[in-house]
Amino acid sequence: MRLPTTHKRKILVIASLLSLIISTQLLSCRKSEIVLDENFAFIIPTGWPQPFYNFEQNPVSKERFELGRKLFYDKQLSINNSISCGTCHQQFAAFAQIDHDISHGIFDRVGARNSPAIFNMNWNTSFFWDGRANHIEVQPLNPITDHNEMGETIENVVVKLSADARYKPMFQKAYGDETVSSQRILKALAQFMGMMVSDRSKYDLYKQGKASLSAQEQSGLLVFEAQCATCHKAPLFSDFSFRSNGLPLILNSRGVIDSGKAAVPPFAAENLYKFKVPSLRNLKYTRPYMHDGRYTTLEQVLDHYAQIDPNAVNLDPLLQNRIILSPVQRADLLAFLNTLNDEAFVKDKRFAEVQ
Amino acid sequence: MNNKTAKQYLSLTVMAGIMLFTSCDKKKTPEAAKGTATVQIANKAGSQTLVLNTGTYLNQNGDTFSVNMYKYYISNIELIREDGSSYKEDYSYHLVDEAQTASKSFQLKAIPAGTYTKMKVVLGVDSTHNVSGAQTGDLDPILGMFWEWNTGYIMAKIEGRSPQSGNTQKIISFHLGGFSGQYSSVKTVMYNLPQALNITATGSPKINIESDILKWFYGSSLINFQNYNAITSVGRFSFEISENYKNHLSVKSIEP
Ligand code: HEC
Ligand code: HEC
Repeated sequence: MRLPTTHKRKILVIASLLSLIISTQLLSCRKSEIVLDENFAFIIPTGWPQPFYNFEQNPVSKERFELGRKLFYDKQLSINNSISCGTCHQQFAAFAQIDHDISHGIFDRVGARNSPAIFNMNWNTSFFWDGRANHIEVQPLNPITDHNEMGETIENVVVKLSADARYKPMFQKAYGDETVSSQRILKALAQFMGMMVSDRSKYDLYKQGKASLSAQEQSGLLVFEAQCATCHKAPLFSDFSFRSNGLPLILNSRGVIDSGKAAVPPFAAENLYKFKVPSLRNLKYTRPYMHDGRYTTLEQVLDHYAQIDPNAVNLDPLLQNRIILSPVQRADLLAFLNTLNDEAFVKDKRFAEVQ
Repeated sequence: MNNKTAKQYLSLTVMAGIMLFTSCDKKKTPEAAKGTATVQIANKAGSQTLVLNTGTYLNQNGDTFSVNMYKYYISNIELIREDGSSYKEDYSYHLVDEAQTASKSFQLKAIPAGTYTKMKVVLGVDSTHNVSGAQTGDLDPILGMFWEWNTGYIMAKIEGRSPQSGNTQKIISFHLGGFSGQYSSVKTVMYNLPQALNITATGSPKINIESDILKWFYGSSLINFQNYNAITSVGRFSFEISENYKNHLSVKSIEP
């Protein structure tokens, strides 16, 4: 905006006046003093869309993030203090669970689905393979209370943490007093998970003009754009919709066929066998693949896309003609997918368990 | 200063002024008189007082039953004057739990003085607060009124027993949830107050409300416990019951 200097000066005066008023207001209204580290902020990577969750009603602070981190790795969130969120969501696996097709919870009870990776959660519009949780802050209530996962109650987690002296200074620093509440626990977990942004892959550097793709990766990008990009939409590599990619219907660990989104009431037949499109970032770390972890390699995944049964129930129209690639296209595509791995993310010390 | 800048100046100063006066509750300038009213709730089964565990009741279908839990939300309470202007309670979420006497009585505060003739409430929790993340107060998930496996509030809950129940353990269990779509159980209802409610700075009027648990089981569909005994998710059956349940509350009287 080009303005004559006199106007600029006036606007400056007004702006500083305003900010003075606002800041004195903030100071005088604040119930308790919480000192926020100003360098600690959630930054939307350049060129990315606005996130679905931007910490509204949950202002980011280092202290709340650190509390969330402690909670994420705390086994007290499970009934017999044996497993934490971090047990099933491991950093070296981009917070998926490596080599477990389906998750294992308390007392070695098995779940029915593969632990998905956790990163770029703030862009997700719903959670779980079937989208049954509508908000990142309430999502953890599900694993905490699930019979096969942590088997606890949130009331009891509040009781346990209230009795744990180590948490008192953490709640104090994060929220201004030592009170433990479900809301504080959930908001802190949302901060820890929401801050996990994976945006430092080779592909990201390429988009920022800081790296170049090899000729093979470039060709792979073209294959990807032609065949995969509608569902696995860049830069998140998911459009967060629910679709069927035509996986053969097989019995799961419970001896039933997983009906996907249709399992979320109210029942609707058009939701049968539809699952949330997963991100394709960090595939190097997140195997096995699909909602039940049925494939252990990307080769198997591509084999599937080449063999889809066109009569599969609710098969996405985009996949009606299968995805048949030449051996060269396959190799190129795999080379491109490899540029989506973000080693800096899986090694980022901020997200590791505090030793 | 030309006209345009003057205007900008003015509007910004006005804005600053508004901020100065609205951002802090404590420093509000004195306003017109305000008063309070107490909402007093009685849970009934027809004409009988509801007594948990020991009381036995008859539904419209002729099934006998007892109740060991009765909980429901009332939210977004609004009092309306003859001219249509209204008072809306701030963060208006009330979980009424028959087992907690304190939950059956609460105060509406800072009501502008005047005469109110209608009351509007949401039975259940409005859709916004079903999608806004972790809540506290009466919406705290520790209160057992939250579906963690299909995010959203349980608007109302009855747990009990009936010899006519088709359930092998003779249990009846009705959990009404669902905040959107065709089976939503969130109901907005308007009541004409039986007497005018006069709010003054000094008065302490009472709004006596009754919930009739029998109303859950007739009205739009007649419920028999042989076939309907466990409703714990959203769908056609929960919707049918919610169409009955929307009549469960009534305003009985106003005590000046
Ligand atoms: C027993 C293993 C296990 C534990 C413990 C566990 N999770 Fe999970 N998590 C899973 C599985 C399996 C899923 C997918 C379930 C589904 O989709 O039905 C999942 C899904 C998620 C998702 C959704 C990701 C997405 O893309 O939609 C998030 C977020 C998450 N978990 C966070 C947590 C948090 C926070 C905790 C601790 C409070 C936790 N998990 C504890 C196994 C676990
Ligand atoms: C019509 C939409 C659609 C298209 C097109 C599509 N996918 Fe998928 N993809 C999905 C869905 C849905 C899933 C999850 C299915 C499930 O688990 O049931 C998925 C899962 C995957 C997974 C497993 C990821 C994980 O973390 O488990 C990989 C890998 C994958 N797709 C790669 C590709 C590639 C490569 C292409 C292009 C050749 C492609 N997809 C095209 C919808 C699509």
